[in-house]
Amino acid sequence: MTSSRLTAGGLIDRARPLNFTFDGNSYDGFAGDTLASALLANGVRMMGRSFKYHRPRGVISAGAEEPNALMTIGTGADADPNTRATVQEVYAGLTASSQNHVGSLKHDLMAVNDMLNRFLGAGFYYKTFMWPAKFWEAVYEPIIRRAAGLGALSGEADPAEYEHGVRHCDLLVIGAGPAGLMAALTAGRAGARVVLADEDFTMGGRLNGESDQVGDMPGSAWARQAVAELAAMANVTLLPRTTVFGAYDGGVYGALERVSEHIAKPKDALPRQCMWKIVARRAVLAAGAIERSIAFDNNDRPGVMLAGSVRTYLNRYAVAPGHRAVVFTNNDDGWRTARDLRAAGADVVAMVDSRPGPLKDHGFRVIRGGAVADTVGRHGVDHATLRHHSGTEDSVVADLIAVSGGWSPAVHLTCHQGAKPLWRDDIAAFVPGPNLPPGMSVAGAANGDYSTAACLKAGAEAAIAALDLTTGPEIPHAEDGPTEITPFWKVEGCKRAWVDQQNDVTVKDITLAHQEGFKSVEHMKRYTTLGMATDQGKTANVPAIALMAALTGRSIEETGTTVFRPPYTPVPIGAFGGRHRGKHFHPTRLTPSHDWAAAHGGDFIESGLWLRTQWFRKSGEKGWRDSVDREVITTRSKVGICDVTTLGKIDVQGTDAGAFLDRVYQNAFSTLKVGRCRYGLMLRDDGIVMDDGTCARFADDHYVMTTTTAQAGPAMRHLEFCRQCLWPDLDVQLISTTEQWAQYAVAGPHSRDLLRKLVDKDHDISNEAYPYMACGEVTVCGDVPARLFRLSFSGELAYEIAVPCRYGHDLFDVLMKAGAEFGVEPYGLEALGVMRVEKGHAAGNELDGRTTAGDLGMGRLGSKKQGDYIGKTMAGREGLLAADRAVMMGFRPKDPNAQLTAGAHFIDQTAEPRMSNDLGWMSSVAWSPELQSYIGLGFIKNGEVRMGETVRAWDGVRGTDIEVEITSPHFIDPEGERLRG
Amino acid sequence: MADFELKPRSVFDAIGGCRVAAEGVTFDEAAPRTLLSLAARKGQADALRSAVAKAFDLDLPDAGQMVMAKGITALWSGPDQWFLSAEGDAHLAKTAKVVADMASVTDQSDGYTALTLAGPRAPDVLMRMSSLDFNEEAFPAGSVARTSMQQISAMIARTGDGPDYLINTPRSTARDFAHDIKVAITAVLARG
Amino acid sequence: MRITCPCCGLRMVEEFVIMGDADLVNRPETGADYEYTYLRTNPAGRHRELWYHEQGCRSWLVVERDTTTHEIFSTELVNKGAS
Repeated sequence: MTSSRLTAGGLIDRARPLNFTFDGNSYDGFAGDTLASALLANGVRMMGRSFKYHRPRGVISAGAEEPNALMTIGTGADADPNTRATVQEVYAGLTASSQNHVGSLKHDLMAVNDMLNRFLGAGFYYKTFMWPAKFWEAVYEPIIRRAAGLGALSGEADPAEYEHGVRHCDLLVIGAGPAGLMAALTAGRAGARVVLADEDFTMGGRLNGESDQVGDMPGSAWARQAVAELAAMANVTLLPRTTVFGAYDGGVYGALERVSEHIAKPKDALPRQCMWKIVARRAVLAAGAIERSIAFDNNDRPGVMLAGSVRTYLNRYAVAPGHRAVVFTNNDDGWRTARDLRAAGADVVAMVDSRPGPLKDHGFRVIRGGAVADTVGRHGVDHATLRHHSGTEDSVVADLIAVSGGWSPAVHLTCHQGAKPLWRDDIAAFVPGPNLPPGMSVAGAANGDYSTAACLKAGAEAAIAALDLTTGPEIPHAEDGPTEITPFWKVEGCKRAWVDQQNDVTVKDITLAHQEGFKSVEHMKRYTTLGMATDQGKTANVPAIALMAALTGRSIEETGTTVFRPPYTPVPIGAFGGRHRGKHFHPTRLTPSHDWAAAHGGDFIESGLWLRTQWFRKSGEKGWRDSVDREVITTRSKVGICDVTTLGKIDVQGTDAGAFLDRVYQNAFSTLKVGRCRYGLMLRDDGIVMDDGTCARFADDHYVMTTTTAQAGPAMRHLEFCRQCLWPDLDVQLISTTEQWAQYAVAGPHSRDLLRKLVDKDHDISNEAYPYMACGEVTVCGDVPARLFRLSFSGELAYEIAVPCRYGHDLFDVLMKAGAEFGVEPYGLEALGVMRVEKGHAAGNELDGRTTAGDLGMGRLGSKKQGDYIGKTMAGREGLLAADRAVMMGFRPKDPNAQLTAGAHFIDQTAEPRMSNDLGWMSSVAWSPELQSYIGLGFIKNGEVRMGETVRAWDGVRGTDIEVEITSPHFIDPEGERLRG
Repeated sequence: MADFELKPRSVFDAIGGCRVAAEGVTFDEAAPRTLLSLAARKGQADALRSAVAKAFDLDLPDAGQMVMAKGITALWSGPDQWFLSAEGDAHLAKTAKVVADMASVTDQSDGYTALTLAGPRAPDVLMRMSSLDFNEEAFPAGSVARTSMQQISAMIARTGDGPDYLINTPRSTARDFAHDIKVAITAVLARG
Repeated sequence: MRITCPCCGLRMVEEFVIMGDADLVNRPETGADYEYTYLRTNPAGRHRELWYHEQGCRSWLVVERDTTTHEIFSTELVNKGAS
């Protein structure tokens, strides 16, 4: 391979040579190279295989629009597929590999697909693989999926870190070409907070790729000077390597910054990418324009490139992408490529302009009114067939065909909120239409102004208008050449002429789509897959629309574009996730005694955001059931401690606190005595149970409500709704105190004995002074403030004691030490669950958003209550009071060891298991160590009447069918003697 | 002397604190203070303001503001609602007495963990934690905001021009919050 | 989307929870009926909605916005008596 690096020029740093590998071969490049420019410099033209036909492909562009040169960067878990070689900076040790071939890139076995192209046209899979029908999923689809495609994922977790951030500014400038730089300079000098974001690593846009002057210096030097000035301004933030990929409502823009993808060995703490939300009062879109190709036969061979990109390789990277070049254009801009090629010493074999015109002496062969009709070459172009205006053809030796079919403004972001671009015949391009995203304006080539002078002027004017400035800076003199174009989309008679190179869509496919009736652009897109690849048809869409317009006889304007949606270029899912992954997917709430539990055998389970202890393992125990049985038995026979800090706690204060609670609970609370608690059931306004808990009255105007762990947030929201929206006249104030108090259930026959050792002596907690459902403020362990509630979820003599969180850890420890003489043990969520099922308390499984108070056996709570409360009226609906509603009952298997399952359906003993025989469902099950039997809670029609009968608990999912007896839900101590003891 | 003693613990005690001191930014847990929520009773907001002004020589701040006077910090926390903090317990008792019948008072001293973040690079760190604008003009000293940072509730105040920030965040997620801040600090510093 | 909370200023939508049609504040004196409980206006276009600033000052707001463009016309506290 010969080096194509020019001996001088370019923006590369020749003092910093770098070594990298591509498909295992080692190459040299320079700092400032992209992977594509470095490969071209090394004479590597073939960089990949095409999606469907596995044709050899080379790079066609020098930017983010690249459809062909997609590579996998890195190896193993770090491998990142489908990276555009035109965007990836080269660094020392970079490892790149080509994609989508079986065997080597040069000798791809799947290249046979190209010979089968007759059968693989648009929509082939709808027609070709019809029979036998079941072969589609089993045989055809897997083969097609393997044969077609891009790079593969590593299959391992992505080890990269992604960061999120939010930036605010007065003006966001998107794109740092001549228009963007001028807009940023104008705004920056006026003192505005400016963010200038550009997808490239060197700001300057086309100025870096052209040989034109700005002011009295090369355009790239002017750009460098402007960037330096901006970098020195404290009010300006420069974000190179940052693609603004989406324009969202409210002036919020999504931007992806590639933070460390260009660094050989980034520091550990440096994220791979950062996703910025940029909140901008105003934005100037100066995203430039994207060149498009012309359709001619075999226009996809390596060596066929976009004319403007050829200039970029020459001027910015000092690389000659070819030595014998044909330039093919339909507009004035293409001529600049011929000029620059010649200046770089390349041989311009022919300048082919599809527009007829006078022949002048340019120092190279010129064909007017002609075309490039075909190319020849195995792994890249070696000959081109030129067609003259007369129709005669001749073949020339050429290794580079530079094509310009005109430029398409990058209007994408202008359309993200539904605006449609407008077609302009004079420049043969879509430009931003009306109804831009609020706050956005467009400047420069993105707006259809192609000359450098026009871009500089438009940039300054856009900033002046956006910020309401009176003046702007002086605009340097620059190139203001003509940009005339005569549309020329395809060469007459071409067949295998590519329009969308990434998804292998040819002129023939578009013709086929038209023949088969897929004439709307949206239908054409989906039938041919044009524009659906990772490049989203940046170079392909406009030519395809023009071709379809010609086929249908409609104008391009009438044909219209498909919808542009974010993101502008691909964004890794990991970048959207940011830091929120793995253990940090959501914040974890820890109770004050979490560390204590962890140190004492606690196994944790997520309960909402909380981590709660499921059980405490002891050595010798074979499984969790051993631990749970022990914890239940200990609590019921001695005393157990359970962390219940996670229950929601809400301070309800105010002179109308009682009246407020009367309205939000199904039962009355204004009648509750100070120093007492009451169980409360909260309904939704449709009469269904929302949540339950206890509420304690500490003073006339002060209640403390508890909610379930899961409903703490929603309950607070609901109560604030009631307070602020429904009854703003009530004097009531709410504040969550869940985080303030560490709360522990102390349950079992010895619970009072244990608490007596901790509660300071001046507080009497005897059964007489502190009966069941008493509550109050006490002090413990020498004046530590505490709240003591005599509540029982387990059904035993029990209390809940709360201390400020700073003391939570030590209180758990002290309870264990003080309780040692009584045989105290800690218990977890699972034992708590067993005991509440034994006691017949409804919990989350029963409060499932479908059950009424009546279903739970608590209809009487509100039956006599006066006045309105949430849910009262609708709870009285016929359907919710129907006699045959499924009500909560207990269930005991005939065989005590038959393992019941929640989710089982009840059917009569002889009934077929089908929906029409369904009697209800099992909601909670447990093994009761006290009863030595499985037990369950569930809902069954006519439950109370059928008490004592036997039905079947049929579980089609787990394959069980168990005879159960319908019992009271209160399996243990139904009269409540223990808890009052 | 009771037989059993309860020692107060910070959420960071068991993990060796949360302090980070680096070039341009420091982060740490603030010394614990009494923190009270004051919510004006219906129609009592003005009376409450004058009572507090009289007792503490402090004007309860308007929305989005904080004031510091004579060892007491008052943060606006919602419509007709404030958080008052001070050293020691005496504050608690006095406030309750002063505002009785004018406000509902709730002890939140243990509900929140107070953190300090300071230094010229603190805004760069906050940019990675929050969607708010921490620019000098948008959030000058004396500003306070209730918001969420990395999915965790936070009440952030700018207490000085270091810039210095005071962040009150719920105790149960304070370790995760500190972790997120540390990650953000490390990432900011890694950029140089 | 960003919403201007009358108390807290312009905030990202992530701080808020939506509850739909603002007519929900007009609960009948006699208690919730069928219309109140189940029938909601849900237009494609300009609409008055309830939003709760949960990750902020905990105020319930009425936000008038265009549901197709997210353009916001006004934002106010439901409980105007508060300050």
